[in-house]
Amino acid sequence: MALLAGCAMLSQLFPSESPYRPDDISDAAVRLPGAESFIAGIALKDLIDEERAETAKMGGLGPDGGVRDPDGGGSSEDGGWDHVAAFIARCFQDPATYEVWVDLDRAARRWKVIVLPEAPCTVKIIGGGAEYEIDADTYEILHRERME
Amino acid sequence: MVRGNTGPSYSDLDAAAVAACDWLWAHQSEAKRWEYCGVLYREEAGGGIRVGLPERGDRAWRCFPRDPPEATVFLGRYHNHRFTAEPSGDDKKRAQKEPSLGHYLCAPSGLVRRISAKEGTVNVR
Repeated sequence: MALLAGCAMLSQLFPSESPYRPDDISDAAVRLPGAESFIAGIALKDLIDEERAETAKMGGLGPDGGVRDPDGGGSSEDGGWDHVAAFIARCFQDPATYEVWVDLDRAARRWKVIVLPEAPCTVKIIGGGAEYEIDADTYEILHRERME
Repeated sequence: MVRGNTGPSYSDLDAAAVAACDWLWAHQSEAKRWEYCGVLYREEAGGGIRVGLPERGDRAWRCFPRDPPEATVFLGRYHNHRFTAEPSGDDKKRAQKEPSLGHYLCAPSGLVRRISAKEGTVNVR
């Protein structure tokens, strides 16, 4: 009994966290920690920018900046822009394709970030993720490596 | 669908993967700087295992193997790395999500490695 009473007193001293939830958001809204979100965003933006640049090199971007529809000029292996090339480009340029893991080192100097393809469009595709190291003070990308 | 196979058939999946990597390094000189990938499949019940011809990736670090032919049994995938013999996070995740398939890495050193969530990474050559 005394133990239970003690626990009750302790819980009053240290109430469990119940974060404020803004009124004007839907049930689907997600709460994200700021630092982790920011670091994940840096890595994800870098990766998607690279994907867009590679797609542009292959002639796969349309005038509006989006992935253009396939043409009939050969396969992607021959340098053409076919259905497979357009499908992969759309998939890997979409942030929703990825999940991101972030980890701050013990000295709080560097973030390790791992970006992994997760969406159904990536199921048959090998590679496509990336690993980053990001400076915890300057937010500079110190190292990037594409997974194979 | 995969464009064809390398010719011989194998009784063992690991042996097929070793042959796949040998074929890849012997026939795709670009594989030292570009990723290729392919599938391993059984043509008929009791038949041997075939090595689907490797596909060139759309990026140097990414590859999309075509499906094995219809009416065959899909057994696994193989792909090469350009620089490292270590499986990537993506490789490990894939092995965890598809435990019924064989996942093989053709390392640039000549090692052939099987990746699975249960066993970890095992050198098959």
